[in-house]
Amino acid sequence: MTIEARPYGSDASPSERSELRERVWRIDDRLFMMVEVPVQTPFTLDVLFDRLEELAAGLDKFAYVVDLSGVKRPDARVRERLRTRVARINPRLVHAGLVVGGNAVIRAVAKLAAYSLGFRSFSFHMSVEEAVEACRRALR
Amino acid sequence: MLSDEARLTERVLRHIAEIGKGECSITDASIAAERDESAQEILAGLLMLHEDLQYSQQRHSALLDELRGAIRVRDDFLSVASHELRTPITTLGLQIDGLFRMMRQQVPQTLQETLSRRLEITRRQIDRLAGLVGALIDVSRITSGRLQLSKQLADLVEVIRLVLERFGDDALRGGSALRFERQGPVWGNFDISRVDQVFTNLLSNAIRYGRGKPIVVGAVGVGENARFWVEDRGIGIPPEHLNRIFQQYERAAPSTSYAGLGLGLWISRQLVEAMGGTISVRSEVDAGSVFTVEIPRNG
Repeated sequence: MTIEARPYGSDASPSERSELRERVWRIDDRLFMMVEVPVQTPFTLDVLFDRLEELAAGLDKFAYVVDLSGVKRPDARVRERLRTRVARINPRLVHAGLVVGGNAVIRAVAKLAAYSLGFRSFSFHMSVEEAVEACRRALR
Repeated sequence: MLSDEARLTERVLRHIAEIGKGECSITDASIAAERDESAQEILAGLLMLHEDLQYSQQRHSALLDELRGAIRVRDDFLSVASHELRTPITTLGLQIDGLFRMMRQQVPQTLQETLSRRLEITRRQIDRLAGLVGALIDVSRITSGRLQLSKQLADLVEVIRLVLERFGDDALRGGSALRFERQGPVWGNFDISRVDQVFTNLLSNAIRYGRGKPIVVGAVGVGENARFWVEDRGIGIPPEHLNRIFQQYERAAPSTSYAGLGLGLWISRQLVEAMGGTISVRSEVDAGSVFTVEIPRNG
């Protein structure tokens, strides 16, 4: 089963929830990967960020790579939730590597979010590999 | 011919003006049609800014509706509760009056003094309770627009004199001497009970916050208007509180030291404004306050 390009809400099945959680994993001790869903909703953001916070529990600082390359432009409600969720991890976040591919609109979304949240450090990348490398450099 | 950069600047400025008016003609399709990536980013940013503003306005408006709903529920509760409380309080008052009469007729003289004192205290507490419930009933009448005035030809000086007579004991208990400044009758069409209520409120505040110092009240005709005032030399009101003392549930004095619901001045202002008049205050901390009311004589 694969997450489809449709909005998921609290009526998501247990297997869908589980698949959403699996989109966040640990790369290194203090580096995590998050693959965003095509259509973000407050529900999917909560599932993904809850998982990230779970994995990063106990760490005083960490970095994460977020793959936004297949994401559609989120609406205002989702952007507001995104700001809230990122603000929660921001004090411990050393660097965010944002993979936006060639999508200028998503790059604009990510930039707006980053600026409005006051990210200490972030960078935009064409590929996941580049983003991982940038995060590792920031964590050194 | 404009350069591409200049054209983009023009477009951006036009969109900013649109967003300022709550509109936005940028769409996902128009962004996708842009060849230049920087232009795409700028336009997407503007579109999202517009959406965020709209969303924020919708949320504020929903919150406002929610708050209005909560206020309506509170006012409905106050209205029902205050009307329900009034009946037993009235009955209690009548019972006390009956006990007074019984005491004078049937109780031996030796016990009368003690009983009388206790009944007097009970009566005062019932009057106080009735006053508080009356204030809540007034709040519900005012907020629901059901306040009605009943005017009749009267002399303002006489209305005030009667209140002062009623207040004599209270003022003495508070240690304040009362002085009434007037020149002659001030005739007009007034709602006597509401004028009485406003003056009573101002005078009881003066006694409460007057530190036992002399209180001066006055009444005078000023052209088409009638003016009355209450001046104390008490604790005064800090300048930062002057704007809010006429608001609902607001008080300048600490509620821990001075009892009350914070409704008296709000009700007074509402009543005075319903009469077509104005109420104002001048005050200085530790020097005292002067509350002045001006109402039309034939409003």
